[in-house]
Amino acid sequence: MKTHRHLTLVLALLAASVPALAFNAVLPDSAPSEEILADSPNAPTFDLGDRARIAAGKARYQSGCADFCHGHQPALFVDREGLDPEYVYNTIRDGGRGATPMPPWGEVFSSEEIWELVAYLRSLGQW
Amino acid sequence: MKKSKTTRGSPQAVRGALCLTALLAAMTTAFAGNDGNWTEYTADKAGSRYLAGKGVTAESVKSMKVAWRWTMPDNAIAADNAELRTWVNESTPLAIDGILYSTSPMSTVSAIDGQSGKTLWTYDPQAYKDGTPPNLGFINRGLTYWADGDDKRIIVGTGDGYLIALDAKTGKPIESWGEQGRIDLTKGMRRQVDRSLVAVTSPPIVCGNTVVPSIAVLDSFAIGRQPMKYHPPGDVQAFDVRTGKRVWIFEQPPQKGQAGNETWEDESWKTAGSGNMWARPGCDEELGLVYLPFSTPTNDFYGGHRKGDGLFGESLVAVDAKSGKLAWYYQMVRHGLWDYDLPTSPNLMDLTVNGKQIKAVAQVTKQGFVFTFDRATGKPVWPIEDLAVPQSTVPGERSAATQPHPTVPAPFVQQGVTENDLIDLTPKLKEEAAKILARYNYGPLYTPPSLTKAGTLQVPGVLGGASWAGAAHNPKTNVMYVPSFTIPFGIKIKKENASVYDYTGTWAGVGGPQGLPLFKPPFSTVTAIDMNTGKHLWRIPAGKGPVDHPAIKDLKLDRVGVPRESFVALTDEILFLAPEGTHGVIGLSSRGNALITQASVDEKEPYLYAHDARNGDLVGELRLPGAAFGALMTYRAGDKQYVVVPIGGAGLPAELVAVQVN
Repeated sequence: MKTHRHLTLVLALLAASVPALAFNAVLPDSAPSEEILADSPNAPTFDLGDRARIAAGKARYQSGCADFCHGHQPALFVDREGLDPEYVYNTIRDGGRGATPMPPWGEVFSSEEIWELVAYLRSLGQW
Repeated sequence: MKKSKTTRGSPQAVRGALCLTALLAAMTTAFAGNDGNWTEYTADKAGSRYLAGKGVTAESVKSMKVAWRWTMPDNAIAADNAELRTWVNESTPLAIDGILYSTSPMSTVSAIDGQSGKTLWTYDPQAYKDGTPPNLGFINRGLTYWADGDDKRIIVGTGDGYLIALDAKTGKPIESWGEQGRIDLTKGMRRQVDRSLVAVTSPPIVCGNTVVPSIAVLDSFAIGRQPMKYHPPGDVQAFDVRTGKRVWIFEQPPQKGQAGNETWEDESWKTAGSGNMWARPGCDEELGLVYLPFSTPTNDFYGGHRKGDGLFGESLVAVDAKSGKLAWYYQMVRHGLWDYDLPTSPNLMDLTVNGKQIKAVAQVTKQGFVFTFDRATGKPVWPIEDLAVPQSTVPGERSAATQPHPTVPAPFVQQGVTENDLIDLTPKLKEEAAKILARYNYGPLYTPPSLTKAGTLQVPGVLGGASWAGAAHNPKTNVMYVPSFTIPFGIKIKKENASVYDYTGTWAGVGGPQGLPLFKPPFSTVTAIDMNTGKHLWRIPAGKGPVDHPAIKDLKLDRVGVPRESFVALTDEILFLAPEGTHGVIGLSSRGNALITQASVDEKEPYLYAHDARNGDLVGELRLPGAAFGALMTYRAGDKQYVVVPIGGAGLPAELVAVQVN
């Protein structure tokens, strides 16, 4: 069930990525194995609306996620609605898990640094 | 270097054929130069991207203007079917006697009046019916023209893996060719492959009477999908241009008994896939050789299941166009672990090196080298050294001990990483760049992908160096113009638990501080190389780049280059250059086989630049209605000369923009 929930969340992220788009972004056949799924993170230790944290997240995003991936003005997140912060955190931490080429950042950034990334992405959207 | 012996006919027979074909070749060249035709995707079969351009001068390009814009059929098709969405528009037309022939991301083919931009006919092969093609989805970079008297044909490879021949006058399929005008490329390889895993993105080449298509295979790293045990092989097929009948197949990896098979240990040649030729080949009709640029075998970043050098991965292979028989080859990366596919067709050129005439072939590469060979024999024009390279620490991997390094010409881009390469325009930028660098493992060129940290910082990255944009070459001066850029990628290997591979790779483009690039400018360049001597003549930034960025605007820098690739087309006096636009990935296709992207609406530098071909000086510029996403071409119609730029796609209208330049 945990796997299923994760799949649903990834599906939601991809399919609802840009409301104007109608393509169905779904996962390929191969599902991630149960054991690589990490536990849910703790809640952020700071206010996700904190400007300094958003700025820190933006700088981190620009250096690791923008060039030749999501773009500097990421269409995936600008004016985006309905995202779950915990899900976004998990995706950054664990990467694409065989569905996309996105690397896992959990070994690179601290929990706090990942939450700053979430804060930045949240500042671009409506969630 | 390992090389096979040549296997062609007797010297006498070759000489006789040379006289006739040399005459024909000379006539063809003159025809193209005088009549203003752009007969091949890269101008000619030599890959020159050059057209003489009478009256196209440093003065004339000061008043460049948009002459017409042509909207591609894909926009209407996508409007009727919301499932469809193309990648950026990379489709470049041909020009034959005043008529342009263009493909589109969805593989439609149209004839267009070269002066007015009006559509004459359109053929829609409905290559989108099965869904999105693999890797980057709907891309079709161009098509091929062939004529024998009044028999004039357009040959196009499609996103769903077919090769189609059309009557150039009517746009109707040649019914007698293949099966009702088409050939199914999924059926000709040694095992049938899933159509969703292959696509034709580069135009085929006709060499003599043989048509040789390129084919893209699902690159697992591109979308993160697990490679299969029996991944589609990299076989190259060839067909009779008149009948569409298959005339030969060059098997990649080589099978038992074939040259190169011994470089695949533990019978990995049975299962390994990809290693295909997605870039366009080159052709010398005089020698009767076709030059095949091959890519990295599966999986791109881990070779523990394919120990050995793995021929003909990342090799330039010359084969007889009639028989497909191996003439010579050179492997540029052994046991590839970096996705350093040969990314573009080679440039064929007749050089004079130390007083000696050499019919040469030059291959520009993602890792920033120019490999130059005698194109008849494969003998290097200048020495190539085998140098020791860093070794992999990933369990089960056995990286090659050495890799070939050309001594001449010098590399045209930063190779590998040191702290001294970091951006240092301000102390703050340098400090922040050092923090970003600390996330990665790094070292010289060919530092292998790694398991720890954010992986290995790969420079040049998987996108180049030189890229599919290729290089231009003036056959009169033997100056070659190589666009390149520095884009680091982080390649992180991950352990697999339920895969046919023990390890696979993930990737991410790596930026620098505050949205600027990680390394010192220039962020992209064009390098002019005298190919008679191998010496660099000059190097210029490709485009203006982010000089107005708040962190550096007070420095009042001139041009630093866009941190992306650029496309070039060449005339006698002018080098036209257009920096690539930007886009961001937003998801996967419904079949899970391709990335989907959105082109930027507010593009910062949608320009066509004109540089003096002698010294690189900027002599003209024009703001375009959208940034370039495909290769440039130039042609004449009436007394006007035009440069055509593909723009849009990926959520924006896909168009061709014709710019009058004289």
